[in-house]
Amino acid sequence: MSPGALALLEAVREARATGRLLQGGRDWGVGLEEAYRIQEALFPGPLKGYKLGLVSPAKQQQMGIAEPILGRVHPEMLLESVHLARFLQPRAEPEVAVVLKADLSPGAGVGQAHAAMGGFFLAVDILDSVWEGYRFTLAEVVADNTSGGGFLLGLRRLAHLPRGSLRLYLNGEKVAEGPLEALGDPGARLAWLAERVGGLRAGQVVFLGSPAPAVPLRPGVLELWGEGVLLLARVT
Amino acid sequence: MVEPKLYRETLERLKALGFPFDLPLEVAHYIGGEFVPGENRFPVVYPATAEVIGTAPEGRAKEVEAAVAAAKEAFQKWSRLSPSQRRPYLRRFAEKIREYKPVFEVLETLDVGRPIHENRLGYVERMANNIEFFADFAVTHGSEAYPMENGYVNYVLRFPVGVAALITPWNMPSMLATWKIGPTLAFGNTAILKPAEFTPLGAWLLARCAHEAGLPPGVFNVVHGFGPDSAGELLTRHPEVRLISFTGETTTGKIIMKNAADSLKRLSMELGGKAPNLIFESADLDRAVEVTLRASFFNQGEVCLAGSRLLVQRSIYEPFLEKLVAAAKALKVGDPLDPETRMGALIAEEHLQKVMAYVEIARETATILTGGRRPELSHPFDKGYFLEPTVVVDVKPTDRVCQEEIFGPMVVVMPFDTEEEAIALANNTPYGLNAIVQSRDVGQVLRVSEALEVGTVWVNDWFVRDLRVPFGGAKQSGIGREGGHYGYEFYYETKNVCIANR
Repeated sequence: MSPGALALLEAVREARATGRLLQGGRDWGVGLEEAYRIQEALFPGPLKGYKLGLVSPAKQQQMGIAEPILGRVHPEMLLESVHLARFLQPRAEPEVAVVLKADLSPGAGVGQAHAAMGGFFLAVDILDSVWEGYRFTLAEVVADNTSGGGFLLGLRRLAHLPRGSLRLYLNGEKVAEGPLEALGDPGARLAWLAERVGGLRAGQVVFLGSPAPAVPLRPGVLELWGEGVLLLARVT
Repeated sequence: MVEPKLYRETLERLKALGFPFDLPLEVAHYIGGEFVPGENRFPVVYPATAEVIGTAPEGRAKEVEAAVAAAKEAFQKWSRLSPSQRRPYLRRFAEKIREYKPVFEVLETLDVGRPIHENRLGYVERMANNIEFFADFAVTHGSEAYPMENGYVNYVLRFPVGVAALITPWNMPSMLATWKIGPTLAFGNTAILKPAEFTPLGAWLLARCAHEAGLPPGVFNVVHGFGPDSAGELLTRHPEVRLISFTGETTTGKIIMKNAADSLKRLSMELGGKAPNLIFESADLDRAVEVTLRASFFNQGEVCLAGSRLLVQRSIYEPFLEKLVAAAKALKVGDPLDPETRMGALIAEEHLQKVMAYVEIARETATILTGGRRPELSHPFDKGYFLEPTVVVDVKPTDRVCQEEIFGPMVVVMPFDTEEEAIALANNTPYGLNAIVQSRDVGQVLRVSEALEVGTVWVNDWFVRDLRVPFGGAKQSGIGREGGHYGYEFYYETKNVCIANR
């Protein structure tokens, strides 16, 4: 690793360990591929799956990139309720997750990706970042596991990607809403991801990104609605 | 029967929020500080899907005897505590209610079919406050003294009465239970709550709150069951029950009074209503529509206080109706757990049939401006007991739909020309629970408020409750007043002490 990469790695490691936030926006002299190597070094396997970030073209343009970014999901990141004290600056995004029922090799086509999908679940991505105010460069967010914090998964499996929109409520107040079509074709996403990470395995779960901006969390009840299905969790 | 998928989802909601009981939902009595599974189980139905989501036990002689014995035993000590010694128990009870706020919000919707949106408008906080308020009130409120001119002084003492049966309806079960539990316990009585058979879930969790708050065993008990030939009737006949606070239908209230007469019980009865909502030409029209929409369709119109008779001054009759109908049509009817929903399902199939019977009467004798049909909803809500918000015009004041309590999302509208005519129309039913006056003419507000034969008048709003003020009905709408010191006559015995200065 370059000296800049080692410095970035060490900064993120220390921030995650101590809970002290960092000022983002620095030029570390680290490219995207090196940032992913930092991520892998800081957040090694075994993995339960992956999360996608920056799925909308607008967000990608903003960060000067032409593809989504990915983060690594560990088994202990799947939550049943959210304890705010466990996070640095938690935010929530309404999402959908797909579970794989078959392995997907690198180079697999979109059709194969569709065939490997075992079902969809509503999900909430609890983002967390070491970068104060979520102000970061591309290398900084990728090195910090794409703001990976925790994930809530709905209980009902859906055979297809839900239609319509996702609506996120905090204590009955609507805090985020976005159209599901903004997530793009999940098959194309999975094929891209399999290529990027050297293959996906059956049983892994992939969070497909959010069609709406992230919102800060407060204690209470978090509710996600999509096509008549509900995910519900307590935030304390 | 149960569709397992729906059933699971219903339970998922509760579990995610910290529901404290094991699943499935097997409601228990709470007697003498213990949860008692009971017998003779009956189904608990979710009104929005007609699915059976659990079962509850029917209390009969065995359970009622046990509860009365426990409450009587507990009364010995509880009644001798000072109000300030009782207060910490009740504050902890209120805190427990707050702790379970998200669970109560869902349970109340599963019980009633009401939109969860309405449960989030301070409902649970009010439940907690209903208990806390009276705990404080009992501590801080003084008494009267009557010095005489010939060397005597009188002073008034108050002391607890005994075991109270609190019989609550299904429309606002947890709210109305706490209205009664608060003063009952704060003033030193012990309580047996008998919730309506349609809505046992909230009372079950209230018992859990009391339990976790450490209330002494027997101070608060819950016995589930029905009215006639069941827990309700047995309580109203039991010689050791000294007070009955009942909220419900007028016909049931009359039966309870007859049952209670043999043992000369104290009665507080909040019964049916057919409240007039008088809208004068000086009213702020948009405000009047907003208040009317709430007063008509809050809780699917299943509110004894609902402003179900709209009396509208002729000069604004057309524009008001136009706005009201548009607003009623825009109300989102459907899945009560969806935060966007603004009207849910009626309580039960038989109640929907009763309300639909009034719709059919209106269809023949009047004009239905909007509603009157069951909305087309997708599975599983196509099986629920839904009815569109319904506005009926071209009625005569003597029509059944203008005289009888419908207790559903259906209002009748009548035009009037003068204030005198409006007052006469308003007073022209057997009921006298409450009225709404919408006017910006202060003289008119004073005159009309004075002329209405009701227990409560709300001016330019509806259903605002201050626990210090008297609450109850005139005419066929009830006996007695609760709230603040107005509840003294019911919840306390009163004793005068007369002392000579020699």
